[in-house]
Amino acid sequence: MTETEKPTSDPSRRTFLKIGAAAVGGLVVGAAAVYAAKPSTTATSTTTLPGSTGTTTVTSTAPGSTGTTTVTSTAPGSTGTTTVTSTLPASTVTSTSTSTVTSTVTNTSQFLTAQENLDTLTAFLSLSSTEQVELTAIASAIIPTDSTGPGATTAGAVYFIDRQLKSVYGTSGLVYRSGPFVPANSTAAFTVDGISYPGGSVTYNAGATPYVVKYNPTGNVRVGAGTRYQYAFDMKQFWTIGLAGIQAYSNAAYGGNFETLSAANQTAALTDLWNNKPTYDGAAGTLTGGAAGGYQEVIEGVNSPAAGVPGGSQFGAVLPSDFAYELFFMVWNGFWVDPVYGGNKGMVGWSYVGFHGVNLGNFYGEGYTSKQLMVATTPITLKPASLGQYQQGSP
Amino acid sequence: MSTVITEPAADVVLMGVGVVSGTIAAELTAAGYKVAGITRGPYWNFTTDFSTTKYDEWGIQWERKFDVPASWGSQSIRNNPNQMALPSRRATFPIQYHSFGLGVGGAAHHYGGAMGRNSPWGFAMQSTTATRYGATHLATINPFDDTEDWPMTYTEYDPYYTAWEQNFGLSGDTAGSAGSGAAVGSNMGGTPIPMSKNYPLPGHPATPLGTAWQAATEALGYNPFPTTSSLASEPYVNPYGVQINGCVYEGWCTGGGCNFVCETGAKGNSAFRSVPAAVKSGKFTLSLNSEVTRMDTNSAGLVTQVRYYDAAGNIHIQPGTVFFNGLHGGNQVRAMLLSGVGVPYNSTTVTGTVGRGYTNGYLPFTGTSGPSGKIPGLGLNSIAGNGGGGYTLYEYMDDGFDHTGLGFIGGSEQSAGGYSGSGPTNVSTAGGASSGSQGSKYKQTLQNRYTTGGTAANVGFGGMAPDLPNTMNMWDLDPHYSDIWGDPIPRITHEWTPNPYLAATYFASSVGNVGFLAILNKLGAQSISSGGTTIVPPYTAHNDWWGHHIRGGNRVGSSSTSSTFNKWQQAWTTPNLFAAGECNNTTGDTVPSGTHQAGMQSEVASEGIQMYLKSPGLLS
Repeated sequence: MTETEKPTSDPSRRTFLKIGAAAVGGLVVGAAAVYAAKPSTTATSTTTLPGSTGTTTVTSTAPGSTGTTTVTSTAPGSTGTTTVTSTLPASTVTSTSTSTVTSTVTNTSQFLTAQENLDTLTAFLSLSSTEQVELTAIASAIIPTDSTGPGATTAGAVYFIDRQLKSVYGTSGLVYRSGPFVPANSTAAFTVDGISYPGGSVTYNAGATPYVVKYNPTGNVRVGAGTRYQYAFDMKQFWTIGLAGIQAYSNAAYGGNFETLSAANQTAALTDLWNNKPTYDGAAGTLTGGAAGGYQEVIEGVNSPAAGVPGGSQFGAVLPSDFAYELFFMVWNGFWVDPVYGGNKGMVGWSYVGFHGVNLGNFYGEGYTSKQLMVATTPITLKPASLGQYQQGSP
Repeated sequence: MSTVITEPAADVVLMGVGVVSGTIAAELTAAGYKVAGITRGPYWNFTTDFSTTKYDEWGIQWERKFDVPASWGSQSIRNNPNQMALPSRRATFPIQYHSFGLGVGGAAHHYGGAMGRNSPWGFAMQSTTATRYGATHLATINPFDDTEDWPMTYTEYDPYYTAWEQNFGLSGDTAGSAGSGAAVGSNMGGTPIPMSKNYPLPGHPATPLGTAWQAATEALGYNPFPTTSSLASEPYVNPYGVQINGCVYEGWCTGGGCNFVCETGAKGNSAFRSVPAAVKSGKFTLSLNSEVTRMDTNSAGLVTQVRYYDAAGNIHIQPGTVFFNGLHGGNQVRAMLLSGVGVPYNSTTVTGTVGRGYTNGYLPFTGTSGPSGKIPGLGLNSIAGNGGGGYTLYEYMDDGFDHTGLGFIGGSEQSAGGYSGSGPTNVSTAGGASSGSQGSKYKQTLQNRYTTGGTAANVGFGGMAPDLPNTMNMWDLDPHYSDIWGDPIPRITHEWTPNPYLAATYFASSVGNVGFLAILNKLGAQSISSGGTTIVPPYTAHNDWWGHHIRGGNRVGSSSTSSTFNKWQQAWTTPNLFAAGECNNTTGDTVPSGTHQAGMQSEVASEGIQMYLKSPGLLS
């Protein structure tokens, strides 16, 4: 829907922004949000509703006043009256505003445009039907929606992950994928390309003087040093294995698919991943069944995840904690990164922590320069703007 | 079959066009020479390439969309020769952290612009330590010590620093009177270090924490200086005649994972500082999206040409008179090893130099649990900012305090007040998720942390000290892994030396934290943690992120037996090959950035190259 507004410096302006979305049915908007806004005394907002020739005129007196704003809609086909009540404190920097929008619009269809449908509906592109259910439950366990605010489900974090799995992330197009693939956690001696790597302590001979390196003096001397994530498969395959592994482990350890577990057991199951409690091929610290062999094993078994991998382990070649690392990272990113990627819907993740996104100080007419935000003695929290809004150049 | 194309010969050929090559491009073209630059990415235009798409935390912080894709190649890492080095496979966290700059300006597109000169001590760590603590002290505290002095002293390097600072447009302290010989801006143990000229631009506007930190530390007798930065604090025209925009402090700048590209060109980068002058001269050719793979040499031991691939896979031959190896870190070493230029380092026999003296130059972040506290009533908006706006103390770095009996040398800057300006993924997963990164309580913890405590600023101290060179840590060619052209990737063998850990432990101890606790008290901090008991013991740092804040590995020095380049940044073995970069640092004491030192070295190389072109031969 389109919206024209002036002036741009009214503290209750964001309430007006909500009117369009909230005009269908009654809805409390901005109940607890605290955003900075520039003070002013009056404002007029004109909203043009699509599919109508009418205009909605909103007049507000603020701040420092408790006003009642009556909105009269003259949109054809409707007989609605929208009442906006604003309570605005006299703060010059930060205002708390509580607004209630009620609507008696009888003909709602004109407001629910096709565009709105597109904005609210989404769909999976990559995750299987069983993975969709499982990952939604996992994401919700990692970031619950609770009394303090939205969680992964509110933010649609799974859609972020789903889209990533369909893109260059899923195909590992930005990942170095040359072999050999050696598990990073291996602790037993091995030979690769004719070169033997014994692990353990090492004696250096610098000049004529031997020096025994005491590094990692006891145990856990990783022969394959370097970095984690030494897998032959791409990220989509990695996730397929990991999600199947979680179901296999969840069934074995807690008696059911992850999404059926109690909240406590879900938390426990996720914690178990970090502690590598599920079975995996590298558990013995050897190369046996690891790398490419383990990958094949798991791929063949994913159609019956609850039964685990035929003749193999629950996680195959994947170290469970490696998958946990990726899982948690991606779920949190689905809560935090720009909505353009499919998560953080409505910028709920940003609002939760107070990140202003691409509102650099004046996106909604707050009137700040970025430098003023930087040197302000009291933190100024702005309503976030998304990358899409920023590029469009208007709220 | 690839087509082979021979390019017209140039006086100077630049291998890579990052920060250091920009200096050579601008100054050698100004001197009338024909310069050819070859770099493996595009020439980003900040107004069109960055201004609308940089506000993308996922794309920039994590997918590194303006950096070299890891799929092109990598580097492998191990702690010791009994291990097999495994390659880093992704450019960033959560799993690892190796992103390389792409295009003109290179890694300066994704750094934070933290700057700082080495102190006189930083150029003479070996000799100064021997004098003060005894000739065998370094060997005692640093097994298989390989520390060397730089080939020149601070006083000799000072004019090169000054030249580079003016050209690059550094912001920092300008309180000293220029030219008086007493200009401050860095100091050691509270003693101002003379700079022959002030930084050209003032420090960034002080944040509330910066102001509080300055007042508190001054009251305690310290000398706080505005934190030095390569981000221009004001519009500026540098000596090359290039117009530079000032920073607008929008945030989206520094970050926990890696830093954002700059949409105004304020962030110090050769693409916006020096290369424009070279392009304008008409004497500069720039081959973009092209990767140098080999130097070819003749029987006299001189480089005659380089070979590079263009984006279509064609092979180009670029002949020249002088060659400047401006490739970053391991790639600089690799190009020499692949080409048979210089003597490869062997850590068993301790012979050769190419790959020798590698240090990570940076504290592992598992060891930073120094004293900290919260300052009630002091709110932060860490979202806006550019990393500047703070103040830095130099009293705890170098040899500014007595290290007798401490088991380490050096220390580090202590600064506060620079707001990071980055998004929320940094607080949740930048340092790595863990089993605790779930549930309602954790979610609320992040909310509090991101708003930086809301109204109570967190101040913490770190005990950083240099990772010292030893004869074991090194670079060579990996025997298992190769890049898209089929060439071996660089391999790092590195284990942390005890020095930074012992420093961290000391500064968190009841003896070492006295000064820090006093500052916290002066700031009115509450909930003060003395830090302390949880310093990770040596040698257990995770090993997923090496190779990006390097010092050494292909160093300058006074002896051809232990260094690759002489004091003119000229290869001992190959007089028409010059280089500059962090890997050419010998040691360093300014944390975290070696760029300031590398930039200074590029000015030395610029002079050396001009001397060579007038009178070819090994310079002295």
